[in-house]
Amino acid sequence: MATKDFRKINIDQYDEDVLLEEDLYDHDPRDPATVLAETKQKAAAVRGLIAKGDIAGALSSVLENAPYGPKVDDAKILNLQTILLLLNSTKTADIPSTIKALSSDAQDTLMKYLYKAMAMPGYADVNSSALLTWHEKLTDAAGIGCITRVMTDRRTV
Amino acid sequence: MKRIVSISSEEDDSHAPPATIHFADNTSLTIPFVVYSPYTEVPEATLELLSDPSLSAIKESLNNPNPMTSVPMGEITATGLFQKANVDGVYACGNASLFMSTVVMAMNQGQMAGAGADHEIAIEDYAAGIAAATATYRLLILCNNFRKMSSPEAYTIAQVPLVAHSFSPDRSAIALSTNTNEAQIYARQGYDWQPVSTLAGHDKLVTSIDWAPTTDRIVTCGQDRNAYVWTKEADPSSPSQLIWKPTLVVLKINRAATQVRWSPLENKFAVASGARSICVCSFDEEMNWWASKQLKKPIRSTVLCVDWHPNNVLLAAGSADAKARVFSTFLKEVDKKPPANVWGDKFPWNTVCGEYSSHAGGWVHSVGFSPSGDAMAFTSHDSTITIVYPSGPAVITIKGTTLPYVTLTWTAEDALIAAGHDCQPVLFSGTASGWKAIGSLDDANGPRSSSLPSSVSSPRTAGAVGGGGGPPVGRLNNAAFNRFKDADSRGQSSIPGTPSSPGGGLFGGSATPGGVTGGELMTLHQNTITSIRPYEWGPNGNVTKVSTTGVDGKLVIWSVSAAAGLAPKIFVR
Repeated sequence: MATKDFRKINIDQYDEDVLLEEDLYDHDPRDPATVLAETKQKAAAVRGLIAKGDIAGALSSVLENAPYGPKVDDAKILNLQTILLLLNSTKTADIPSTIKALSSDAQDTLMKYLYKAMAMPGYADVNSSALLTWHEKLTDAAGIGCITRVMTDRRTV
Repeated sequence: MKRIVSISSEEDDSHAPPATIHFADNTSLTIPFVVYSPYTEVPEATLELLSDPSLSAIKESLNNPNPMTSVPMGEITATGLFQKANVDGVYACGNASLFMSTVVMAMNQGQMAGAGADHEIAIEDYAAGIAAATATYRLLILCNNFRKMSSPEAYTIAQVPLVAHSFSPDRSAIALSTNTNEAQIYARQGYDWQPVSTLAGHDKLVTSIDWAPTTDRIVTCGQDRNAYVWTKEADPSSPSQLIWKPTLVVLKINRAATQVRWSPLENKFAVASGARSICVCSFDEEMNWWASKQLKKPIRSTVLCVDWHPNNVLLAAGSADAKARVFSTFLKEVDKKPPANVWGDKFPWNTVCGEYSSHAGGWVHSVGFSPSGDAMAFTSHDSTITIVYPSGPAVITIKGTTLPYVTLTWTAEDALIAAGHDCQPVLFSGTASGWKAIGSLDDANGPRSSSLPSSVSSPRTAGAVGGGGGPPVGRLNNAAFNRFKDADSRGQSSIPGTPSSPGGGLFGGSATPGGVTGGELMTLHQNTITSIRPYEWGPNGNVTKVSTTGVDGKLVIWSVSAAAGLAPKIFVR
């Protein structure tokens, strides 16, 4: 039987004009430290907004300028935790109106977080049942197009 | 000439088609549609069955109308419902003994509407009056040709996916890639399409076809990294017969060619390819072949689509690096220096006049310049359509709520139709200040389900607030979704047989889910629409009909005005 080793060769290293994943999206102009600081700031502000009952406002602020790209893993995890906190503290009946209050870009970002969280079962605050409810309501509002955008967008959160 | 006694309809007194005409000699004739008018000058009722049931024949007969039967078009433009753009012609009018002066119009071939001088008389009133009256009438009958205005013409061409299509200049024939290495030409025979010739030359799948409207030449390109220009020539063995003869195109690419399009002057064509390049080809008289020159920078990935600017120099191209670009393809041997336009003022070879990213990183499926060339639109795999106005500058993104659109065509300076994985063509309309979805062309008959995108768009910079305004259109209840749900919950699967296709098909398997009950989609196309192209233009230059082909093997010709909300509902009481 012929050797299969050739299948494991990284042929891209022989291509001087290789297209890398990071060439395919616009990078976050902020540096990682700033992103982390901003995310921490938002996480703190969100607790205040939850106390006031302004879930939609809190969600909008966290979804805006969400950290993406390489080297911001801490900020990504922190933002995910903040969002999970918000998702889990929203009453089921309030979900549709909360989603409606979001901008369409924020809806797309929220869908990214839903899929990210669903890919991490058992992680801290991940509550699959709540995530599925959010997913259903978000799809009602933003359509399947919202899901395709999560799949194509390389600015992963 | 026969004397008409009465006209009846199967549907009680609604006079909806089909209608039956009863003659004085106790014979009758059932016709799909009638237009009739009082015709006071002729003592006997006449029945004219036009041998050529096309609109042109009817228009011809109206060129010499009885003075009493003509009304200038201008008088009926003010009615709102019957705008001039929708009206093909005034067919008849007059003042019968029992009626007020009345006008009957044909709306976009087939659909008829009645409007009186007071713009209120409906066609039903006409029929009732005719049945009762003793006056004589002239009839113009549209047979065979009858379609409800909004009804698309659908043909099942083959049980295989149709990768690309292009109509002949006179629309009597169509060149198709039937998912194989040979392009087929089908000719219209009655209400059907029959294969008449085969363009054999490619070794692998034919990916794109373009039939030049003026020079009547066909260009094809394929996964075998080749392109051919086909011209009609006399068959050497039987000179009375015409055959299609290929001319070599020297592309010099090392990956598949993905799309080919003639330039507006038809002296050049562009071939998009997987070799991160676009070949711009022009004819080399000396060598008797088409030579190419490649646009390479700054393309980073497979070019999937191209479209020409009306000036014959600028070319839009979309690629898998999620970018749509506008290039200059100025060849000093063939082109005259184009005047400055919104894309720039100097156009040396390979000038990048614009580069635009898709909204969420989707690769660009389809690009198109607006009729004037002052705007460009592209669809991408992130379910968005982006419209670019370089003069603004404005970049508008329409976020789709459905699966991605893979093909688009402009129908007017402010309208385009996109279609794709959602299996239905959707009309969008707008200007530099914003675009929105108007409706699906596949939505005319009510019961069909549709999941229209409703998200209102606004310029990208404004932070679009969309999706919330419309009805809950994004529900997971569209036809495609239900099909997979059935497969999951009821075990109804649609795993088709896989006929092998030489060169390997783009779309595996057969076109339709053979033998599957309940698996039918609610849309006319039963699978992804691969290609949408303009089919017919109105007098003002706007596209009035478009043609689509899909993975389901269907060819459909749609009326643009059929988009929901544009089609007046004539026969609904």
